[in-house]
Amino acid sequence: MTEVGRVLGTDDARPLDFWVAVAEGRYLQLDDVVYVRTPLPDGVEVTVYGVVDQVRARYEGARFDSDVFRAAEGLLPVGISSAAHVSVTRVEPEVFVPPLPGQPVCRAEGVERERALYFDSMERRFPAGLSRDGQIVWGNLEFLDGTRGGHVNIAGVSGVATKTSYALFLLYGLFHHPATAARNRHDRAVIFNVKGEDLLFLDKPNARLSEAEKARYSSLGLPAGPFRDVALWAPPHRDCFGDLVTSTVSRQEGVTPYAWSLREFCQRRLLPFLFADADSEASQLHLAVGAAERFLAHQTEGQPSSQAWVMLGGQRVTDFQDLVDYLTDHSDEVFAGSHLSQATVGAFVRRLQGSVEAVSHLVRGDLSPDQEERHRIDVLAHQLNVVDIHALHDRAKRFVVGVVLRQLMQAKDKQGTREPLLFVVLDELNKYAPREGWSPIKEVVLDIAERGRSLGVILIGAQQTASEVERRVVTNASFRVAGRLDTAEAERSEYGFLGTQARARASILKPGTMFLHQPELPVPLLVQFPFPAWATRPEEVAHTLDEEHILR
Amino acid sequence: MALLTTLRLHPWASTWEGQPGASDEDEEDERPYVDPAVEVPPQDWRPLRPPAAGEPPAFMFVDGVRRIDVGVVAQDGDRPAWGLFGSYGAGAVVCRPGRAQVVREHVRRSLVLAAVGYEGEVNVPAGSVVLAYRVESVGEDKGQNDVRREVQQRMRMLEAELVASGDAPTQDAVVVVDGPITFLPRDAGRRALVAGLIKTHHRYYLEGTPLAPWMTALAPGERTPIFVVRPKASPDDRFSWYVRLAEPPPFHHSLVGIVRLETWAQAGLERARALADLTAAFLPRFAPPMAWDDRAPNNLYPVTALEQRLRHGLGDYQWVRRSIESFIYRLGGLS
Repeated sequence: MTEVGRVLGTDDARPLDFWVAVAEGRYLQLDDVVYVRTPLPDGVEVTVYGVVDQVRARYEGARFDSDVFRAAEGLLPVGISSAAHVSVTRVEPEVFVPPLPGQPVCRAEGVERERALYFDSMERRFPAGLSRDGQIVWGNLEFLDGTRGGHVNIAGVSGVATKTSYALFLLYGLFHHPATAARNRHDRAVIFNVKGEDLLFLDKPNARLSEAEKARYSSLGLPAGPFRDVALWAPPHRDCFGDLVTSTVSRQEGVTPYAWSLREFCQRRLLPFLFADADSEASQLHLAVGAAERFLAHQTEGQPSSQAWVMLGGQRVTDFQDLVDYLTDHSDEVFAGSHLSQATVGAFVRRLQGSVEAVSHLVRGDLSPDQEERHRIDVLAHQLNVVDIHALHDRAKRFVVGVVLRQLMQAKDKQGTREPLLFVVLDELNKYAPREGWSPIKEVVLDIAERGRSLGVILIGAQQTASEVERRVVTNASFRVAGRLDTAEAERSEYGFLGTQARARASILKPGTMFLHQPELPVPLLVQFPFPAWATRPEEVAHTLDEEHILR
Repeated sequence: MALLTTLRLHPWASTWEGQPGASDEDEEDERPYVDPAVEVPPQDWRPLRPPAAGEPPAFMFVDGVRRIDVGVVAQDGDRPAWGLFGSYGAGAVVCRPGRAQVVREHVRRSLVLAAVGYEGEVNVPAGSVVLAYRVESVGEDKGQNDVRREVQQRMRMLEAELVASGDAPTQDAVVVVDGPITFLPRDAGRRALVAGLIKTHHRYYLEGTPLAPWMTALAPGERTPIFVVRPKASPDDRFSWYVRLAEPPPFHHSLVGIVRLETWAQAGLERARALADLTAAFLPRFAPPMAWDDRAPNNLYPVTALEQRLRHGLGDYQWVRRSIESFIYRLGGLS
């Protein structure tokens, strides 16, 4: 029990916040956890726990700003008062009285800290990061895995907010921490690689991991190493015949090219995801898409899974260009009875033609049944699945994301049980589930946000600006995380969970530092997470001795 | 203490309730003997500027505050006995280059009664603390003014105690006491350089002498030559001098910014001269500008700050007063 000061009586103390006068020779800094016991007349002692969210120091006995110079010259005696503002996190027992002025305030350590931050009442928990004093900040797993809540939303400026790194750290903790690893052994995660080929080395140890960072992992109770069970998926090279070859540059080994057969494209109605840029709901285009989608499904119904190509109107269609041409040439037939204007059909055809370049290597008629099986993204076979989309045309990106999300929802629907869990890490939510407009991807994302909890599909979504993301996607997240925020963005109501102080601090957060808000705690906690223990680019890959031998 | 149960409030009996007031008056003589021919013969009088001094020495400023918490009247037989609950405090600030620090702070409380033979303590509960008022009987024939003066004197004695007590860091510091040195022990001046600083001019010691113009001609950092003052009530001669702390603005009287200092003559002229030079050279540093305080520039920074702090130490006036009221209410069996 370290006494750091006393509740001061010159500012009001309230049940939910109070000021502490810091004793001489002691200090309190932002994010420190404290508690104070206050006696009631009936003998009951109420313990009030809280987190420091503001600290100040000032001269006592000075009356003008310039008195500071007089004090420095030794002409005016002044005292220094330093005080800390505490936001209350918990009151035990729940008697909401203000802590009385003059009561000693102690730094919360050990059990008291666990109580202050509700860690003691978390039956199942996962490491959510480290506090600035190097202690574990736990998250309540029941609010993540769908039992009582689910989903994580991460906001922050690109580049400095380290949103993806934090999402990966969360997954790493869930998959490798002794508290959760055994139980979550069968859990799966899928993450889309959108920037460079950064995520293609998650299964390799990071050569730049310092000893200090390793120590941070061990204080989290985590091994410092790469992800253990990783599947890497990448688009195939455009010009390959026979066997598909991955298009990735920095790594080929262990990377599986992904593609869909034309038959699957038609039968499983993947066409809408080619039109996934958010569209005004008033537009007729989606009616045309729907009609074409139905036409393809109807035409290919019952065609055998041994073939990747399709028969349309007695014509054998073996690549995507042919499919598009067929739809273009037979538009009268495709849209018969759908009462669409010629302009709408024209728009549909133009867009469809425009997508040929983007996806013709992803939707193919030249796959053998064995190949089709091998190159279909299967997120249930390995624990962490990286789907690389960084080099794809924007349209193809949306197509892949939409198709993968829908297919995994369908798979989980079929599975029928919540567990094992399936985590979906999706950055740029503002693109996939924008606040305005409608798109098939937005529909899938919303479906995950609203229904995923009960299906065991947990969305770890991220975006630069939560204000531009569909409200229901953001508000359904039990865990809200904010990294460095743009000052104007931080003022928006989406960040109300931060409170005034954290909002102001959000604009100066360093990489590797986030504010975490979870349902049980009324205040956001500042968490830090260690440097990745896995390589995030080719230069960071730590080679094993054998590999080094070969490289020489 | 039968008398105490007859205590009743007499709210109008007191002045300077919680307010500082002028009161050096009652400590100075009507017409003291003044001899200007001590340091410099009168015909050679002129403002003296001490030779440029180096690093300022440490100064210790001693000051006190007092307050009448509430006036009371007790019934002593068929005679009403005046009295008051008073609080007073004294403290010291040591100013060295780079750091000024309050080093002593004492608060005392007295229940002064114009009666004989009462002593001990009266404990007035006030919230979480108990205020202990020492009972002081000053004699049956005393009136309201005498009762009030008692608090003033007790404050002066507390200041004197502070200067005299060996524990105060007076060894290397120039001690400047607020007000005349009347109450200070005579030998205090032997251990350290001690001066009393009188900031108000109730008596104009050089009035009517050809030296008067020199006084207002002082520039900041200058002093008059030392002259002797012999108060009627005191057996000791004192050396005294005027120092200008600051140049007054044009709309102020030219006496504003001038203070008088004094020390014991028996300490010797050389010591007095050293003290006079130090005060002339360095006290202007401590003088606040007009905007800083109502009593600027004569009330120095450390003194103003110390008074503020001591007054704070006396406790909130309204709160203390209300505590005494309810104490008396209960004491008199009125509840």
